[in-house]
Amino acid sequence: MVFLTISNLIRARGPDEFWRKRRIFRLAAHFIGRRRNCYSVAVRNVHRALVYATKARKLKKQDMKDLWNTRISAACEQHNITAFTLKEGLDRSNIMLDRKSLSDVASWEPKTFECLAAIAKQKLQLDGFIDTVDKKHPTGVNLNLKDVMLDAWLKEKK
Amino acid sequence: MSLIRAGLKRLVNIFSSGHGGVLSRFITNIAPSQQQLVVETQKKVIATCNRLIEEKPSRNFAIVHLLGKQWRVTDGDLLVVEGYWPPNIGDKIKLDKVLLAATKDFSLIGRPLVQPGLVTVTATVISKGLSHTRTHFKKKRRKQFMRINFQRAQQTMLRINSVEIANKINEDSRNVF
Repeated sequence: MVFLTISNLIRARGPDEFWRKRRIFRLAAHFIGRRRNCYSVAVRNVHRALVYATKARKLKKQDMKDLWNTRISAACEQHNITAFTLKEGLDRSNIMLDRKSLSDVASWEPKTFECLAAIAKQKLQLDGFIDTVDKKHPTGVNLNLKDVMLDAWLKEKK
Repeated sequence: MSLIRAGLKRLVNIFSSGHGGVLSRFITNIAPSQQQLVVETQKKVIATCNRLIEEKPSRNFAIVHLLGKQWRVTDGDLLVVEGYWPPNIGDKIKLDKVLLAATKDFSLIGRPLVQPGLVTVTATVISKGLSHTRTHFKKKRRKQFMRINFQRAQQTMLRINSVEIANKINEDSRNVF
């Protein structure tokens, strides 16, 4: 790089020191102690906080997924089936509810969820699929599949 | 045909449990025997569901697919969808991709969608705007590497006007699309 203008030889130091620091202090306003009052400490912590905030946006999505999974498997336990059975059964019968709506239904519309569980179980029974997940200590009440009359519906090719 | 459902089970329970039950008001000849033909029971369940819809005893909810996400909606709900989406403020739209719809007494489960025309979910676009500013900040220690970017996503706010179920369960669906 060749500078023809003499003033370009001076290193540009960005905006005025006051405003540069003020920007950081604004972001550190809710910190405690020296973290909000001393620039050299504040700037380190602000950078760290911003990195966390950026990464957390991805983590939040994972956390929500985990939460939904927990809710779904808890609701499945009530009906003595595994979350895997539910997912497999619903997939096979072409019901495409995602984790979010399944957990929503499980927590707010338990009767509808019971129906979904019954469908899934019935479908696997019709397919002759055996869920090999060990269930030594059943915690819920077995679904009453006697009253589920969906044979024709579930055998229908979709 | 996206059809009936296991809630048949619930209704059948009510049928076969003799007196009491939610439906006792509507049914005169109670307690058909267990040996009854399945098909007949199914017809009865469907008829009962259709009648229940006419009576409108409770609020309905539906799960609709919108912009790659599924939402559980009921009357008067407020949705915020994020990302580019053409509808403008004041537009009234019908959300057609209904995966599941239910009332207090029964639910309709679609494979994957319930038949077109059965469930009507109407919504109004009430505002369009931008989300708060999200800071995308990357930094590597001891490497003199630091990048900062700012981004705001488009947001559209939707008010769900109504979730209605028509009383034609199990009727032939004419494909409207």
